[in-house]
Amino acid sequence: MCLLAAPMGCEPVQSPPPLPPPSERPQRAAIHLAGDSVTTPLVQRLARVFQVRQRGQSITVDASIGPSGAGRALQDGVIDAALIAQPSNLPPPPNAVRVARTRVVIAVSRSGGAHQMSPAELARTLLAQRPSWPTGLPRRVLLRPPDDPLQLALGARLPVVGAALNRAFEQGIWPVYAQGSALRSALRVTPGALAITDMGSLGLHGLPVWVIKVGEPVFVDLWLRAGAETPPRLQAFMRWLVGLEAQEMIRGLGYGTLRDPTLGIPGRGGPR
Amino acid sequence: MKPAPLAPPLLRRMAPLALIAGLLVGVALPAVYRRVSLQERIGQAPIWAREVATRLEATAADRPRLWAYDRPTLAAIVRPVTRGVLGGQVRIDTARADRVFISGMPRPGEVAGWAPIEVGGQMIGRVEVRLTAESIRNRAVLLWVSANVVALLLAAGLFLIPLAAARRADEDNAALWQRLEDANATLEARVAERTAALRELGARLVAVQEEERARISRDLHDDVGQTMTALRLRLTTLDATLPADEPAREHVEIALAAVDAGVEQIRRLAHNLRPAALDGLGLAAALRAHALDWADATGIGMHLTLAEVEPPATITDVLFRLAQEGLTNIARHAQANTVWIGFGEADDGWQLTVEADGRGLDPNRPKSSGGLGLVGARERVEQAGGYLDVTDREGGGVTLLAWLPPD
Repeated sequence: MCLLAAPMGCEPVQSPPPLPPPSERPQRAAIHLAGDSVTTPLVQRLARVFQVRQRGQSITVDASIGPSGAGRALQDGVIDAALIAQPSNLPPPPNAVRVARTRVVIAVSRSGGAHQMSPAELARTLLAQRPSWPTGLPRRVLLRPPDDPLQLALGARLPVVGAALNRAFEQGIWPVYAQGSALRSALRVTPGALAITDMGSLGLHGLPVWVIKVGEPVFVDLWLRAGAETPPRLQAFMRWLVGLEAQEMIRGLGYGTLRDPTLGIPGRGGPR
Repeated sequence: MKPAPLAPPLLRRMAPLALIAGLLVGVALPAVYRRVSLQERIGQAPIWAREVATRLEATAADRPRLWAYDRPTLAAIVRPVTRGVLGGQVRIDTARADRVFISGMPRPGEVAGWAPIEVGGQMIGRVEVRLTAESIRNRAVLLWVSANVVALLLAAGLFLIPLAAARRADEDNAALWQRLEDANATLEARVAERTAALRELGARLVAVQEEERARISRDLHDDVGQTMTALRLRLTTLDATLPADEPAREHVEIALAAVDAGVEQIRRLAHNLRPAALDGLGLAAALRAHALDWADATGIGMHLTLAEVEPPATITDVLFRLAQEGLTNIARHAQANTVWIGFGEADDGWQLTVEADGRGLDPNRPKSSGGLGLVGARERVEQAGGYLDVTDREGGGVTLLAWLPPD
């Protein structure tokens, strides 16, 4: 009977191996933070300063694990706080402090020779419908995963770009970089490269790129969101982040602060 | 015998063959293809699960706390499976969280494979890879449809082509048979025509022979007989005129006796050549006269059963000569005591039987043969369209049975 029905489907069913029982959650000596690739580099820099200022305050900021992973890790109690970037027009997450604000921009390698771009042209570029830059170099788009907060924020503000991004992901037109560091390395060395990034990251990492303004400004806020239990050391770090010293540092790195939500655009030649 | 048609038995034999061929091509081929492809895909799932698990084990070793939450890294690890040529779904489970990562959409007809994630000898999670078998299923269905079309064509070919050939052969056979029957009919007609001609020729031959015999008989009777009679009268006169003691009278008397013997021989010869009764009194009378003379001459008892009917002259001659020949043979070979002769109408024709007791037929003698006289008699009977049977008589002896058509 199975032979006759074989063309329509008739497979053996197997069972997966059982999972082991959950182990006891280890006691942590330090404060652990983790988050997305937009917020994490800034907080890593700030945490190092905080630990110097506040001796004995051990804070560990892990490498980026993505916004959803950070939220889940916080929910599971694996980390003490999640570092999350979200569009500035969204309501603030609970039990969180806003660390900084940054503007979503288009970064292109200097070899391309482009200084401006309309949303429609950006959409065509994302869809590989504009093959080359004015210098003749081919356009190469470097993408982050679909849940990247910068891409989501830009796509939400510019629907034509959002639709193009979705199609680019569906069709697998361009390479997707899981880690922000990998994308920055690729952006640094790839001729004709284009990536959706933010002003703060460009200033923080000193990338040799042109920044192109596309449409109306799009901002994302960088948040530190604590879990249900907020240890005193974490409370101290959160207070320091919104303090004058940390905010001055943040402004100096190219991010917007609580006091100055409007970001300036670095001059020609890109950020330092 | 008319040959049986080829199509029906071929139909009975080719129908199951065509059905089996159709089933093999239409069902077995797609099923085997799907089974083999599916087994290959089923074998790939655990291999890919192991590959993903190995990479996850390296990541977990580096980041023991957060590896399960690092979605970008997890996505990068599983992307070759979900976006590669295989397509499918990858699910990562850990002991703490039931499902920490799932990539790809569930699809119908998936096959699953699993691999444990182990760090330091301890299982910390599980990778499940579900590879879609939809493409295999689609190809199998396409192959199934195509194979069924091919199977139908094959079955039709196996069924219809020989059937058409058999039907053509049947038609050819029928046409050939019809031509054969026509040729046979033509041949039979010609044989019948020739047979009739031969019969007519035979009858004419017999008639001519009988006429010749009658003429010779008349010549013997009228000419030689009269001469012999005149000669006897002269000798009688001579004998009367000679003196009683004339020694020549002895020679005259011897000559008279020789003339008498010659007259008798001529009379008998003339009678045998053509009995006068045959022309004058008919077959029955001629048979009776001849039979009684024969019985007197041989001393064998004679029983006659003769119908007073008269067949045509050609039949009469044949039957009389047959009886004459039969009696001659009986006298020579049968050592008989009694002879029975019967004549009459039978089976819409004429029948003559001559039976004799005594010796039967020689068992070494060929059935169709006989003495030269009987051979000639058989030929005359058959030329006249009849037949002659010579058989052993029940109780000993011989029976001759001749039948001749009415005319």
